[in-house]
Amino acid sequence: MFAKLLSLIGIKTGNIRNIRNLAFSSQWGWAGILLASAAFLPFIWFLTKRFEGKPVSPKKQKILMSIRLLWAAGLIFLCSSPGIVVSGYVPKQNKLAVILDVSKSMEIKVDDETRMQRVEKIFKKGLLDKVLKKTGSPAEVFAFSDTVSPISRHEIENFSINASGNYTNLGDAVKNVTSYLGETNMLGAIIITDGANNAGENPLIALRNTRVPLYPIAPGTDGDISDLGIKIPGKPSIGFLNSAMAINGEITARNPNTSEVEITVKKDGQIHDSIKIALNKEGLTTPFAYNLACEEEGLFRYEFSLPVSANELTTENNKTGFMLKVVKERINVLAIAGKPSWDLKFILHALSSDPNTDMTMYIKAGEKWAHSKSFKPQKAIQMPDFAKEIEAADAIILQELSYENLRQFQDALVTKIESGKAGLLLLPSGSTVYHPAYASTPFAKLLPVNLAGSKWHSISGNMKLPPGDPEYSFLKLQADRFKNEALFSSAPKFNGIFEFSEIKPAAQILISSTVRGKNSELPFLLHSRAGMGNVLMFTGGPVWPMGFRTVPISGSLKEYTAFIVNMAKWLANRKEDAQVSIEIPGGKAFISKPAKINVWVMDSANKLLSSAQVHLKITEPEGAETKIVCRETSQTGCYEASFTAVAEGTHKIEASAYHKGAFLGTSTTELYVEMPTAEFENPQIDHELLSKLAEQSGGYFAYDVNFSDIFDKMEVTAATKLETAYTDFTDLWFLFLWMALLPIAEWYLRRTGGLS
Amino acid sequence: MKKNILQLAIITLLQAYILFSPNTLNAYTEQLIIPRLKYSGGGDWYTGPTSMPNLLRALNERFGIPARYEDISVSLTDPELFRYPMLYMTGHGHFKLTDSEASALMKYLENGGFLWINDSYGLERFVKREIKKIYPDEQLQLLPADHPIYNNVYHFPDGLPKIHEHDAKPPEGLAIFRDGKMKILYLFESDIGDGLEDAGIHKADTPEIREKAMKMAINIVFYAMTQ
Repeated sequence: MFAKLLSLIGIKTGNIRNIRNLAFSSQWGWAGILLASAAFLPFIWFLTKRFEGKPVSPKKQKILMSIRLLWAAGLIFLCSSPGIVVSGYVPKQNKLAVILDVSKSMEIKVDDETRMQRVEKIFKKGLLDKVLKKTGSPAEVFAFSDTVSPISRHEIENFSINASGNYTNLGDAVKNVTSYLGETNMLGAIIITDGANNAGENPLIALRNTRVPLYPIAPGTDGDISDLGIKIPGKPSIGFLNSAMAINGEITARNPNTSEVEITVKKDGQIHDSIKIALNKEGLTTPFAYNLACEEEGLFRYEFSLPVSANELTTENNKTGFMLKVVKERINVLAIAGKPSWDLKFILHALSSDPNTDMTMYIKAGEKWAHSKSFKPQKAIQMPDFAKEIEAADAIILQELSYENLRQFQDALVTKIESGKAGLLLLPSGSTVYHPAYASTPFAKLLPVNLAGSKWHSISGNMKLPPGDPEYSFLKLQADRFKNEALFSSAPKFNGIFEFSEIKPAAQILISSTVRGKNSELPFLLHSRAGMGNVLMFTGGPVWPMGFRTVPISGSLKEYTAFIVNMAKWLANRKEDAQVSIEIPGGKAFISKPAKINVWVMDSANKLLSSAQVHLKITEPEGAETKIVCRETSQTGCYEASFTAVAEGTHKIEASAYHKGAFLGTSTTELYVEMPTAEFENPQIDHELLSKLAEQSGGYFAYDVNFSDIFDKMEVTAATKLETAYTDFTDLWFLFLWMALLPIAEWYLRRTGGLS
Repeated sequence: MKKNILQLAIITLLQAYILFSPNTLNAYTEQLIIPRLKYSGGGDWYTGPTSMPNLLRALNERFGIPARYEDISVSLTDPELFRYPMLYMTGHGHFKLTDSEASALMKYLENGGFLWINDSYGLERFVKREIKKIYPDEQLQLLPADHPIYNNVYHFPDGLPKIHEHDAKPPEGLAIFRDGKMKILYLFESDIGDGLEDAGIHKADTPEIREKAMKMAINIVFYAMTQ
């Protein structure tokens, strides 16, 4: 009632029904208005009295004076920018979202019924009507897989919903929906999902701060399902001729009806080999190892598959594969250091486990150089032929080398790296390698940081992978993203880290840290391009305890070993002498998932070129062609494009580059596009995750058969929220009327009183 | 009161020295530590407490290797064991590995650790017996005089130098190799450890003999860190 009254006189109340407070506001404040009135009103009184030209009776004089003073007071009041703030309660809408998982795993069948068919039953049993009845508002329905979008009423009524998403990102889906509807407006979110999350952050972490109660509904129980799955976490991409590669994988067997399975290995579609593996009776998983002989040079597609048994949950996870490029030579790693260190020793230890890697190490020992060749210590020598060693190296490691020593081969080193014929790894140690005195040397241009103003923090910390899938395969030591992140963050702590005044604009942070610098968390591993070559720089250390302390995951392979070996191979990624080269950071691609393709362009003097025109021609296995124009990146000479494949199989990629109309050259490579299998790697319903999500958010977890239980647990209160509305007095019609009426009143009095 | 202030001042100065002395103020705070192995069995694992601090000091002074000049001990079942990739073991008497110690030592060596055994006198039969618990199929191999461990930094044309005389037997450097890497180095009838101790502890150790011992020990450390 009161609110209506205020509205009548022009004071804005918005949707406020129940007024809690009215507050006057003014730029001058009460004191300002009183002071201005005290100064101005006597002046008005004096002026009007002094210059009154007509004989006015004292009574009329008082009336006229009052009118003038009131008008002047009103003017002062309006000059103080007055306003009124009305605060009060508005009714809050009790919105309830229904978020439906439409990823591929929802098509998994249990007892002749897919999870999606069970979802349809939930809707047919009146889920949406129950929402309406409970909350008084219709439910907002959304579909999610790796993205989220609203579903129309029509789609729900006809249930024309396809489970075709390649990934499940539960955390992002809930966050997007709550942000779209407004967290404070939401009574809760019903999530219908199997909980097989395989993208984005762990939902328990991503949603730990949500204030919206979550009500997960699982579309069925798995019961006594059986399933066989195979995965190879660290898929190789390069093999070396006449050597064998150890392929380590894992078989997942749920309620298998056999104690032994046969893995069939296919090479380019033809049966190549088979191995029998006895399944682990104790646990769910059985590791397996297979020695893959690289007998011929070329690019091959290998597929590892398991037989399909009766009543399997899904057969999508019964095979996995990779493309393997077999090349002629082993890679040569050269390490040069000013002092021995355990970091170098353990790098050597890790590389020695790989039959395709050779290593030569030189360490300054007084006047001589201690050294090892092919992992075996040798006699000390007076002066190595560094130029020759650098020429033969595919990856070069430097640690704590004084500039005096580095200067001898600096030019050869810079040329080698910039030509892309070797990669460089820098390890921190002492005050030489990362010393500001290096800042103006030719060597410094290879580094991803500006060395001036570097500061050492003796603070222990942990490595931290930036969010998202690592761009480079050597950072992906576990197939599961969360396990991979946990692996790096749980590695033994480092002792200290450098903070640099500037990280060069084109540098990339590959591993961050938990140590905070001036502005943000300090990077631990940086990457930059130097010409055509890759440079990696550890900014802290040591890293070796990760290799020494962690327990091997299999008989011989440790994560640290895989990290170092894969990093060396990535650094050694030999470039041809061409002016155009293609780099596919991920090494492979998946259907419907954009794959990044980089093209590096140089001139004939091996200088990276900006403002080039770069085109890609991608040929699908069936022959269809796609042409893409690459855009220039912030890194000089680097042009990138994103390609989303629609077909499985080997795609041919051809890059052509032009500069100022002149043709620079072409480069070709192949990319194998796989069908994403993430949805089927853990095909069972994740009851644990769903119940924890419900518990953490204050919601309730139910199975589809008793989904109505969630409404019993849901508390619907007549919620309100506090809102405020502001009205500027200069907009008030009655104040305008008041100010206009006062002079009219004086005019009327004078006219009727014979004073005009 | 004055005494307390003086004590406080001294403690503060000492702390400042420890924090900022050249030995600790390395940009890369990881310092080389070679702890001695505190083994079971009753032998004098603690003999020669100045050996390792002297070796570490020499490594720092001659090659600039950041090192902590302390005599630190660690047992095989200590969780701290995996902070030290190189272990020094010495003594004269009985040495025995329990099952858990043997298992920890095997994991330590397979993960990249290195054990240097300096036989001060009388360790031989225990060492040979206990190594079988870790590597039952491996034999200690005699290192030839031209082995890189004798010339990777300093040159020893005749192989392992004789430092301390006991039974007039020739000194022998023996080792266990796995996958081409030396895992255990056993120095017999040489006693490099004696030669590393402070001057004056062993009257027979002349400066020349002590320098020889130091050079051989430096070769061993470089070998362990470059293989």
